[in-house]
Amino acid sequence: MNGIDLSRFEFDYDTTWQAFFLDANLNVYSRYGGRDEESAESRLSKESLLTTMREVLEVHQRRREVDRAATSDNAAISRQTRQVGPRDRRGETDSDFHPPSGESTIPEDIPLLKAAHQGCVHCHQIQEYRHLQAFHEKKFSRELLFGFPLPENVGIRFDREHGHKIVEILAGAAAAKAGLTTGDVVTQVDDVPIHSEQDFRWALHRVTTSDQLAVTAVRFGKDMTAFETLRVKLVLSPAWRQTELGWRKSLRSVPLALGFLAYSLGREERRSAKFPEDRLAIKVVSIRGEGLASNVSLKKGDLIVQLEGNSSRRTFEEFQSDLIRLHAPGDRVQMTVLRDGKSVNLEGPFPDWNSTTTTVP
Amino acid sequence: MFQQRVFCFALTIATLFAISASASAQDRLLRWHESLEGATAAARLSGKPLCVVFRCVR
Repeated sequence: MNGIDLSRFEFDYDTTWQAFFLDANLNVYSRYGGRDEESAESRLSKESLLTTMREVLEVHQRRREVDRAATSDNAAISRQTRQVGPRDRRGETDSDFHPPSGESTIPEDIPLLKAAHQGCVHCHQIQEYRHLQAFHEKKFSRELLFGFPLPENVGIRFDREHGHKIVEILAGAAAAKAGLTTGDVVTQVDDVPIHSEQDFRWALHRVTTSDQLAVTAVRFGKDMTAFETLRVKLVLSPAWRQTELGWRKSLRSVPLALGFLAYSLGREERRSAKFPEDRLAIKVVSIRGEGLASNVSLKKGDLIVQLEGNSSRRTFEEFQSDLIRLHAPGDRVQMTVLRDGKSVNLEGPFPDWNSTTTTVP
Repeated sequence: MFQQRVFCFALTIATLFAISASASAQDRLLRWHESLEGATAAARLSGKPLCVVFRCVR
């Protein structure tokens, strides 16, 4: 990612594969990619990629035909345009393209990265240095962690084989209340044209202060020829951005002062301890410095079996994700541990964000 | 320094290719490019859109 313009090529830097479709002036037609906690490919399919490519080509072709018509109408203006060179549409409004994301910036503009990093900059390292930089500038907030929210967060599940056709509306969520339904094809969110699920997620990602989303969708009739265009408002609920963080490589650079090292019990250890396979079992192997461990009086050897009443099996990374999703600094944390064979309830404040780290491995 | 070498196996690759609306699948890949400048120049000449792919191997 060295030298890449992050404002133009903005994507979820924890993912492992991301495509952009652009014109020759690097205006973005569409983004394709994204993942969730299930796997690196769980949100991708050949069919949905083809849908995106077909739609992009259609838009591109239409624009070329309009340009050709304009050229033949006025050859003199056309010659002048060629002499001037390509147009960069940043700052302009063009409904075929994704709106620009602010001033150009490259990874090396992040001061901590510039000071410490050598060699290739990997995608996830951008995200990690951003976390650390925000913390050291006292600008870190939990919201920074929940980038590229899932469509399910507003109550929409898209068809994996299509990309932006609704296959399910989740009961009671924002999309249901707005009147969207199965089969609707989302074509625009606010000022972002939608050709893929990742376009939709980028549109959600860009929401900052607003609590509403303007969604345009096409609804086809039974014969699949007649259609109507719907324009609805999605009202966002509190904490609507939150998603699972456990799969993210950048989780290791979140300034969370756990103050302990631990791991989730494996199959053999569960078997020998006669501990159920489906239950939470986080083994504390050491206590280190200040942080959550000292706040709740966690001890070396404790087995964490419940967090805020939830005892479902989680990896250690997923356990950290739950801690972050459920608590802000100062909130009370409640957990249950097995200590010397007895169940003990622990409680204490979630610590302030803290990190002494300034580099990313 | 040791850590940097160890983690150097993870490589971010930006690859670029242009696609065409018609023609066979083979012809749809105009060509692979090693720089954004080369890809945009080719896209301008051919009138085709660009696909830029970021792949992180870690």
